[in-house]
Amino acid sequence: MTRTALSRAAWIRTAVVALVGPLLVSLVAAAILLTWLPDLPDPVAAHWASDGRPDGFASPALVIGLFGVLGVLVPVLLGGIVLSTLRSAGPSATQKLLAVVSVWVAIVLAGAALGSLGLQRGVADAAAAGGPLPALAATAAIATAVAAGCWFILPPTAPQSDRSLELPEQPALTPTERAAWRAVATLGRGMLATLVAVVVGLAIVAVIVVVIAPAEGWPVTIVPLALLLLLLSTAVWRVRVDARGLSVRSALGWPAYRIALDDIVEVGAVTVQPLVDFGGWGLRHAPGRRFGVVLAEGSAIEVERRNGRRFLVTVTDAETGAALLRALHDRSSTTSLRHD
Amino acid sequence: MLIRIDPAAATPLFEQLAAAIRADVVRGSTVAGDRLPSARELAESLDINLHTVLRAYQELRDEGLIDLRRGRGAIITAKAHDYATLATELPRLIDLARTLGMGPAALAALIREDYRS
Repeated sequence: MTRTALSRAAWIRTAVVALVGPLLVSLVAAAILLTWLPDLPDPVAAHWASDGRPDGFASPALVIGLFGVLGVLVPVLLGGIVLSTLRSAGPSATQKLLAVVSVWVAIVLAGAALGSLGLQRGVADAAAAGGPLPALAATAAIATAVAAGCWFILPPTAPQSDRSLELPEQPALTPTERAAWRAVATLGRGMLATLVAVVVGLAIVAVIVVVIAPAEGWPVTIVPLALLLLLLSTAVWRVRVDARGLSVRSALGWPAYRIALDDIVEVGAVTVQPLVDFGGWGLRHAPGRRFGVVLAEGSAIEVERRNGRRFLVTVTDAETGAALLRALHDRSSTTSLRHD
Repeated sequence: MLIRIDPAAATPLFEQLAAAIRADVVRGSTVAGDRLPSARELAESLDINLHTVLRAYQELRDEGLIDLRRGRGAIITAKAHDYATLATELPRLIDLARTLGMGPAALAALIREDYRS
């Protein structure tokens, strides 16, 4: 087991913040809502116009049911991710962030449901009830304060375990030698399958909507199209190392990242766990001024730039690419020194 | 795919380039179905003449290791599988040469000699 070294108390604290606490908030709120059921009008107001007047209505059971599903799903999903990826050293900053987001979302959901339905108790016509905006604002403030407090309940951020990879020995580059390395980096299979399923699902929904209501429904098609574009632009990347530096370009041609050799301070290869280090896949920012093209679990080329920012790309055989980039970098810095 | 060539070496550049790609196939880091970079792109990357890259690609095509098709670029053929078996034999041969104190040039010369007969 990976968590043998992580103290029991630290694991329990993480579990309480990421999963048990938010789940409890949702369940208690759902229980309160159920006791209110007899006092609520049918239908209840479920959506409000910008001026605070209700403009959407639904049956109270449906609203409570929907809240219940969301209120359970979010903590289970976020808490599940945090706990299943927890390392023995303790939670990473990204994992702690996911844990407090779980708390925040649970409180906001509960507050929104309790606030909006609470105002409608004993009211005969939902249209006459007040808007939930003040309750929402108060809830957001409370949720933010509680989530901030929870950060300190969580175990301290584990020092980034050294996951740098040994670079293979390569004969030093002679001054006249030319060298290039290239590889294709692709989105992990599981992630790709999930995204394709989501795009197909959304496309089916969009087609149904357009068939039912062509006049108003057509903007719905933008969602699967936008997601498809996103998928195409991030699924396959070309990674290139040569005398010009590091180039990481989507197969579509955009987005592209180019880091010139003289902009590089240090080159290395590391192992990356997308969820732990970046909170997910794609173009990702992480603590420590780190930005990554994060496509799959495994090895990555990481460079530190002159401005202190770090850039990485996950790619198979990253060690070979990193070793060449380092060799090119070393050669160019020694020759430029000689010229000075 | 890792390519290292040296204009200062005695071997012609196109031969070095073809050898580097071949070595990559033998190592197994380039496999059947992989597409080689376009000749223009590789020429830019290595800062060499476009015709040098084209000549290397032609040599590999004559050997049957790549398929050159207009518009599709250079694709590694199924022959790459057979090259991978070389990967198991080569280290043994090299180890033997080392224990005999034989340098790479001497080993290559021996192979060339035997190849002709």
